[in-house]
Amino acid sequence: MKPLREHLDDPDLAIRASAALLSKVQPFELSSAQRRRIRARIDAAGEAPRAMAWLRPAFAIPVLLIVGVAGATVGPRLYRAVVPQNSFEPSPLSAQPAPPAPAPRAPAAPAVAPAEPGSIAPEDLEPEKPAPTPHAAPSGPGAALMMEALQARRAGDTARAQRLTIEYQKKYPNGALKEEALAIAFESAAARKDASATRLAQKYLAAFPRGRFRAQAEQVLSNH
Amino acid sequence: MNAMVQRLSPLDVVLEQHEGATLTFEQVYGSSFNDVARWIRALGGLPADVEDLTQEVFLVVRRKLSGFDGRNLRGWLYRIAQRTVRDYRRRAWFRRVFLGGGSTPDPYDNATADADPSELFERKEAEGLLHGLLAQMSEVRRTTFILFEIEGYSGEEIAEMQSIPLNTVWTRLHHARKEFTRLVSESGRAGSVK
Repeated sequence: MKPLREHLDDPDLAIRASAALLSKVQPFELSSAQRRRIRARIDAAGEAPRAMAWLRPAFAIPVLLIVGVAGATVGPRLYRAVVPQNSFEPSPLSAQPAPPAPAPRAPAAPAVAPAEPGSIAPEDLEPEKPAPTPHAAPSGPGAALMMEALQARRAGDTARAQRLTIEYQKKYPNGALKEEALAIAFESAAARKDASATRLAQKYLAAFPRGRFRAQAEQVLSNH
Repeated sequence: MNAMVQRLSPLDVVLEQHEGATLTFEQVYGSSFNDVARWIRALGGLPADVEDLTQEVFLVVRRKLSGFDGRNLRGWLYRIAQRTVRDYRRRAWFRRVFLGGGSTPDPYDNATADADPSELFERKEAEGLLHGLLAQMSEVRRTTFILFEIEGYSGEEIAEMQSIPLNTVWTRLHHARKEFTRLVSESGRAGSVK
């Protein structure tokens, strides 16, 4: 078969154009300098890399294992350390400085001891452990709602705080902040001397007999 | 017959002289250096990388030569070149996708420094166009086409290096030519030829 580049006088215009195009291109060739350079590099390469080649997988596999194990160990801790500060709602209460709210029970500082019996300090509402219950993980909207409830309570708007916690319980019956929602609810009701405080405290104790706010709930029951 | 393949390549000489005998790396390197560089180019290695790729191929050759059965040296070398270029293209793809692509060198830049400027320009223009057209062809057809039409290998040589029947080479070449002429025609290049 004759190469296409030799068809320069072909009657077909496309073949002639193809031949003209191909005739302008030369076969590829490396220079003698390049040839010498490559040879020198091959000689310099020696056999050392080959002798150590087995080390690559032997090195990579343990490294991957270590990284995997370290990631699995540190990852969740890191997640717990970072996520509550950024997105999980209870921690902002303790992390961010409270506004100088005209709260009747906490006029000076937000982290002081409860001003009256049965009240719950905001820091108490912060979860002791990141995932203490098998409930669903705290979600953004639910957390925002509780945050709002806490702020309302701290601002002295106990009615709103109670309403918001009830809303939270309706929306997230198995929410991660169910305990805190109930606690704020009975505490807000007690602060307003609302009759529902007893019922809410009983509800709390029924749901969380060993809950963190058990003492406050019992105090509410004994006062009413 | 292709005038460029009438020559007996150094590889052929070595193969004739050492029929059945064990080849040394020196013999393989000295006789097949240019062939390997051309194959790498035909297989899609960019000019800027041909040097490195040729080195990679010969490093593999030196490592594996003792295990070579001595039957088809050209085919054996071609397969090593093919694998090396394939790995290189994979790495290039990875670099382009994950590390951001750099500028692509001239595709078929094989111009010599002492060439006439106008001739050089014309050749570079032709090479650019040629690369654009070849890039539209399938890898199998393109490689066969470049090996035969540009690098000047005979059908028999291509069949031997690719370890395929001669008729397959002609079939591939036939389709590749047809496609190439169609692409040239569509590019409007045909209009400029008298």
